[in-house]
Amino acid sequence: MSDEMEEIISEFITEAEESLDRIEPLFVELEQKGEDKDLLNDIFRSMHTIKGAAGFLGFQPIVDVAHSSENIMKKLRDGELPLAKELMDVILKSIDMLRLLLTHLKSKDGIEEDVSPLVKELGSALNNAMSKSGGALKTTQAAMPVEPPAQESGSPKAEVTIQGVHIPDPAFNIPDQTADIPQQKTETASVIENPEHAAEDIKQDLQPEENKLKAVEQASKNSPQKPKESAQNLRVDIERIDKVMDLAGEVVLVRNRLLNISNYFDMKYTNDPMTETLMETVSFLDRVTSEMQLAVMKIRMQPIKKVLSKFPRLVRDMSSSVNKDVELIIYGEGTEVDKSVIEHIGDPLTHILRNSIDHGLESAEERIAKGKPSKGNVVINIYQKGTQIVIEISDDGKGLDIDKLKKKAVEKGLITEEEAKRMSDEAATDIIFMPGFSTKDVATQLSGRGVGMDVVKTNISLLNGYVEVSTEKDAGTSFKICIPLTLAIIQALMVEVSGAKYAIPLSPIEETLKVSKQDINNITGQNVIVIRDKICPLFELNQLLGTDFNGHDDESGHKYVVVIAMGDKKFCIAVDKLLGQEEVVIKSLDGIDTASSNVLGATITGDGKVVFILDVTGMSRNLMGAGKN
Amino acid sequence: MVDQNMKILVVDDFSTMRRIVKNLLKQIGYQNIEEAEDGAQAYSKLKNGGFSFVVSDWNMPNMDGLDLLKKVRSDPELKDLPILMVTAEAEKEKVITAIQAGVNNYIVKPFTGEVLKEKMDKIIERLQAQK
Repeated sequence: MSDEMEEIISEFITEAEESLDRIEPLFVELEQKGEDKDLLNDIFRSMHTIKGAAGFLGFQPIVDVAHSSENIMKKLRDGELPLAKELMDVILKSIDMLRLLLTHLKSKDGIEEDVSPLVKELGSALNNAMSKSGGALKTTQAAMPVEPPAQESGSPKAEVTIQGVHIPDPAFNIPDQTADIPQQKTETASVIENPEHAAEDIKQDLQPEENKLKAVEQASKNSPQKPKESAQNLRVDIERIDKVMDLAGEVVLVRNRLLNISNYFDMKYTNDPMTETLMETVSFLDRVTSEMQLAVMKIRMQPIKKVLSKFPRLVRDMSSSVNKDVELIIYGEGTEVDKSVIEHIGDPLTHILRNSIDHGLESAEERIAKGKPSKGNVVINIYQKGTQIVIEISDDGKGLDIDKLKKKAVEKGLITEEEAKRMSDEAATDIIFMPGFSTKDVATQLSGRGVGMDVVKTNISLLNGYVEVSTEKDAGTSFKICIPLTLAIIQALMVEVSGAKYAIPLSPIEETLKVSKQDINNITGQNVIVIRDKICPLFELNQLLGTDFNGHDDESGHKYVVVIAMGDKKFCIAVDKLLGQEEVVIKSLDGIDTASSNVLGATITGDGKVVFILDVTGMSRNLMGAGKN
Repeated sequence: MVDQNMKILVVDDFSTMRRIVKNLLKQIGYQNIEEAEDGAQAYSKLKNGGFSFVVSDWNMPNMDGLDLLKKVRSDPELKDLPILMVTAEAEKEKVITAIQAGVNNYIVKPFTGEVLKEKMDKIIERLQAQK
């Protein structure tokens, strides 16, 4: 296969998938709004376009599925069929099949799906619907996909089937007039007996104007070439963007080094005029690099809508299967996030959403009994806060039952009875994130698949983010996910402990403090400090990392403390020195178990040294988990 | 004679389709090709001048192929511009409408470079014969 062809195919796959992503939520909208001509046309058009392009590329199964589905869409669009759930269901099925076919194409696994059962199903759904909506229609329309008379074959117009002839709508809407249809049909058919000739005939009528064309053509040849306007989109292989991203990261590192070196020269040769030029040049490079970095980052940013587009459908399918009336409200779907976030946030969000509907919301009867509206609400709110993206998923259901959670956790041996008693309500809500926990006795087919909320937590921490849950009895449950805007280049606080430098990502850092040793208290073996009347656990970075070799104790009498906030939880890390803020490029480390080492990756600092970036999210997980025992 | 350097506008909302049509045009020797995403964008490009041929899809958002055709035909500067409409079989009923609106010819998806060439040559020859 030629490269060109390969590129076209990959472009087709992406574009077709995007089209499907776009139209899928429209179905739900359609069900809510009723027959909306624009929506129907939009869906029809996308199907149609996918079919057309697939035809060129020889993807027959896609053509077949899209075609059968389009047949139904067309009837819906033209108002020949009423909107019905059964039709929606089969069309959605066909979208699922198209996705599957595209996935096979993408992975080049050579698997061929048998689409004929679905095509048959689509066909019979159409026929059923047609016969329901009136016998007259059935005979004239549905039963009409006949081939044109044989004698017409040989010229292109022979493909014009009688089915396709446009007959004024009123004839269809008023069954009494159906008798007229055959006649109209033949009339129209004869008009188009030879469309090409018809075109010619019409052209001939226009003949006097043909000379003008010549003039136009002439003029266009003489007129100077207009500047090309090409404000079009360019599809680029993600690998190329990642390469640019990588290089931009390298440039940032070099820039940092250069800044360091120039500062050295500035101090050493203050009076040399070239020093000033050097400083100027470097500061320009500094600015440009920052801008470039932002620009490159933006290339990778996409609206989170991409992930959310499948949710209305999910809610639709779920609400009918768990028999709850659910309204999904989404805010901030235009918020842009890094591509890798788009790729990894889908599953956790889906899981939380399913949980909210399945476990969070009550049945309509229960809701009415509680004096709530029978329809449950799930709200997804997405916004940017500083350098973080916040995603909140809230339901107005029954809320988490803390006692039940504790009881289950004890039963499952996740915590002891003693611990359960001591556990605050806030800590107890976190039980749902414990591996192996699921409150439903019988896992429903929807949310309980042995995979629990612990996977949600893990997935989110892979993105350097965290999730927290808040709940109120009978008012609902709310999940809040925070993820850093980008993963590749971050702002970090450089710290030093036992002579080694480390980088701590800036986003979870709330503040840094200088505390004297007397301020450090010890409660049952845990060091704590009091920050504005709140007790906060304190950990030595040396001990966390297991680098406390010399057991040194500096005599300075004070310590620097970095306060980390993960949602509502805070903890402090004590270090020897705070070195300042630096932009660091995360380079992943092969062969290191980042989950247990508290290390996220490494970076190269301005002075050319390799420095570990600490994984505070992971740390908090380990520490808070340990804190409960 | 068919001028292989004439500037052609390919109109389609699906970028893969534009690329396919563009490739086919290149296959049959045309090099000077530009693209537009819908009728409205196409019309403004055409108004800027320089185009000698339009290959347009029918079904597009904003302004569809038929509306583009009508708009071009009713524009004194553009009304003689040859337009080849790309349709799918299901849209054939509309072919009549398009002919009435003054389309020069239509071509059914999927088509090969040869068919495209045939259709284009026909249109151009006919136009030249009428000059």
